[in-house]
Amino acid sequence: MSEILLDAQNIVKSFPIKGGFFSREIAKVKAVQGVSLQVRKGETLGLVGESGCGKSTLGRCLIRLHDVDEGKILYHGQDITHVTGEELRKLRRKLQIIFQDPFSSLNPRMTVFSIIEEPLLIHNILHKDQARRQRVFDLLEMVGLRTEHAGRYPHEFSGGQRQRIGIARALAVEPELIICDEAVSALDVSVQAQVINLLMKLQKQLGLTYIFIAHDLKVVEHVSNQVAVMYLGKIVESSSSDDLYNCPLHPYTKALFSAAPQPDPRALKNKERIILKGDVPSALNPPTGCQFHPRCYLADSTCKMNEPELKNRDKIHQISCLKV
Amino acid sequence: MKLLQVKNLKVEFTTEQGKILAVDDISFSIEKGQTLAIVGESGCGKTVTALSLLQLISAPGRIRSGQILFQGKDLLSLNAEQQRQVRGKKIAMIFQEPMSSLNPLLTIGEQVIETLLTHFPTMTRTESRLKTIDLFQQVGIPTPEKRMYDYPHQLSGGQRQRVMIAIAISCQPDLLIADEPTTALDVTIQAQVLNLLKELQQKNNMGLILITHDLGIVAESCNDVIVMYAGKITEIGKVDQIFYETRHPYTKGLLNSIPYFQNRKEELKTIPGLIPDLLHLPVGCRFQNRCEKAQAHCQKSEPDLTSVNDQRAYACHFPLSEGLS
Repeated sequence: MSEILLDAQNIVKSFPIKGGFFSREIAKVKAVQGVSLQVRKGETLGLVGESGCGKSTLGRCLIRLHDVDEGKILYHGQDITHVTGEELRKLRRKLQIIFQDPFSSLNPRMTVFSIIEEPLLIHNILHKDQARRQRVFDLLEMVGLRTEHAGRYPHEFSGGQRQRIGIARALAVEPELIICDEAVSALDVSVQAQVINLLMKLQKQLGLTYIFIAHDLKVVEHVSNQVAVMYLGKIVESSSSDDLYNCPLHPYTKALFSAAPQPDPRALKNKERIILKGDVPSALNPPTGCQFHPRCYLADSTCKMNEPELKNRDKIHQISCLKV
Repeated sequence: MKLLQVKNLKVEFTTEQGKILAVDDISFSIEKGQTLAIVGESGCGKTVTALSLLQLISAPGRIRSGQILFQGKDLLSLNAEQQRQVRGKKIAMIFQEPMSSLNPLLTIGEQVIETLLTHFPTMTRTESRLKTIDLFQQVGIPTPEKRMYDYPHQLSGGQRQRVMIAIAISCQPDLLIADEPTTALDVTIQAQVLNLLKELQQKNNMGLILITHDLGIVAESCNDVIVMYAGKITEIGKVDQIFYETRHPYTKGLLNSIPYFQNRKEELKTIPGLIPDLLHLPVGCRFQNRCEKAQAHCQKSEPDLTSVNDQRAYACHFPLSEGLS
């Protein structure tokens, strides 16, 4: 196994809600509540969960776009939780992100060339104009765009092509780790497949490590080595992708998998369906005990009182449930 | 008699560069109690088709020609007042984004009552309030007597979509059009909403047109499927035929792009390229530049939709052989 690139220990992140007189803090949304995870070099960690479960916040914490409240982030074994200034700037070169919405994450007033060139200028890479130009053209080619696209503006491109521009921008500074935050969710299935193939090709070619955040379980299964399932700011189950998809154990994971529509009418006839009741509870006021108990079909009174811990079931499989 | 029969519908939009046909000569039909899926990539004309059934196409678009026969009557020949009698009452629609299709300034109860009073002018307010509570109960909104005084922003996405459904079924329509009803929702909530739609459909024997790009949803909840590409129908069939006896290379391409059917770590099969610009359509088949089976003939003539029987048709010069899956 390859070395551990990123090691997050017990990450806690909450956001204040302000209101009342002098905008005092009146409550806290606990977005991430003590998450630990590890990503190995050259591998992909998938993060799945419903909206509001904290997967994007966690992703942003890991690359220091948010400051964590508690916990530690080790990158190559070095503590990067509180680095600032020049050190942080250097770190940013290595940790990049691709955003979900290819429409709002590109500046409409910049040409594709300047969008991709910008990180090179910010990080002072390649001082000569000629070399920088060449690098931008190389990047465009790498993501499957043509050099004549460089002079155009984002609105002239389709969603899939815009996402390619976002990928080129992230790759410009030669990062080691890229967070793909719902990077293919907004795309049509045929274009989505093109972008997934591109991401996987680049991973092989450049030895990239991905944290792949998505709500589409099939996509996550396809790209990931490890998968962690999140619910209300906590990891409820994690394992290798094969293991998790073949035998999910946590009732939430099971429900999530069974709810995902399967594009196979014949397989559906003997499919057991678990339909969860209700919505995801608010992170402002999470339930007591096991946070999943109000929607869980296995829950009894003990789940209301006691909070399960994430425990190792075997070498690779971790789960937090009192009933399994 | 068919519940709805669309014949040779053409919808055009006038743009600065010229006229485009967003929906180009499509025909299909749906029976009572059946679910019809319309699938395809964004920009292929799914939503325009749905909107034209309710005549909600506004300038610069217009329905150029065709017939929309609903319970035997041509909707396109009705005047504005008669159209209003049908729209919302006989044919209702659920939109994709529940937040932007509800009025943020009215309570959710008021929005249902508004629909009821418009279509049943003799109903009293008290009656309409009781009916609203009943509707909210049917769509699974807890404590409807209290929740009906909530505003849309106080509800979650799934609850908002339930309100939309309650409005849509308030007049017991014969046909319900759902345009990507679950695209904005999480899978667990999506399963709840789809289940609800299925229940309501069975109870009221409604026809349901489900517009989606998710082939998983098609497999789970539809009887018949229409595949659209660049404004045209490329394939029509029963759901099993579409999935297991695929004839059109585009449908096959869509199915192949889903990670579900493929081994992990292998490269996904894709449909190369992009959908053509409707202003500059190629001569011949619209799918030729992305099709692996395309030959010289495809660049010369556009394939017609060839019917195998009443419910099965495809538009391709070189269809995939039958039984291939």
